Amino acid sequence: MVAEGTERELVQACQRGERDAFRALFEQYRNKVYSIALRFSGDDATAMDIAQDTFLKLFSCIRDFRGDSSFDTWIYRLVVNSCMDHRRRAWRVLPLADRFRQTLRIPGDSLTELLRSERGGRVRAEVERLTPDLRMVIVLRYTEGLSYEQIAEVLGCSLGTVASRLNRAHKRLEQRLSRVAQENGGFHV
Amino acid sequence: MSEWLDLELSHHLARTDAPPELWGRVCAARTHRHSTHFFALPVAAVVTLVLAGALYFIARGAPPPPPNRAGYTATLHTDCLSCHATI
Repeated sequence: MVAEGTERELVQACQRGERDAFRALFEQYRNKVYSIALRFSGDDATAMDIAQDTFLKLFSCIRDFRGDSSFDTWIYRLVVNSCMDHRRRAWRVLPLADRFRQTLRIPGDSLTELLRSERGGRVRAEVERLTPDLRMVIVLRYTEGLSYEQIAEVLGCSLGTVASRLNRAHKRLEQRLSRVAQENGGFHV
Repeated sequence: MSEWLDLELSHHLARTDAPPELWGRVCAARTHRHSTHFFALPVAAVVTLVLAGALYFIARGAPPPPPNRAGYTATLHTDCLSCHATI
């Protein structure tokens, strides 16, 4: 992790339009941005699109960053917005395809069983079945290890809302995954 | 929440590496966006000029307004007076 002072200098260099600074900033944040996009969308190609959109927004809006919040929080907001925008666009353009993909992801289906036989695939498939709001708090919590306070700041909601969403997501995942675990004897229950 | 679920989620949703081609895609998209903006302004200017020209010629060829506007007002005025006179 780069020290805060260095990061500030890097951001200022980007605000001045220095190309090398953009590259350095990209290298610093690319895994973070891509991971959130991938864990939220569950699809490599979609994650690439979301990450690309996020960096394009980042580079075009970096002059608007005034340092009111931390730079990390600002970037997290950009990724979250890109994820939600992408989902809305996909839903508007291809609602049937999206539903079909969701159907394919439902465990118990024989094709899905073949595709997602491994345990990690099962866990990620269940996360993908959560509603976007619940899924995003799970991704921010487990992919990025953010605290409740940080998630609330990124999403612009109260601590209570974050706690409630995490609680609901945990309950749903526990219910679905423990059933699968009982069927397969895979998880530690 | 169960401890096993916490462990599973932490393990299987862990951060992953971005593909190396991401930077190339971002650069290509930036270039494309700039070139789109470069062409957008002249195209918008040409469209505005064409629309302005079309409006000018339509207005030049339009028929003059009806000439009996003064008479219409006078008729109204007379109607008002006749109504108020009855009250």
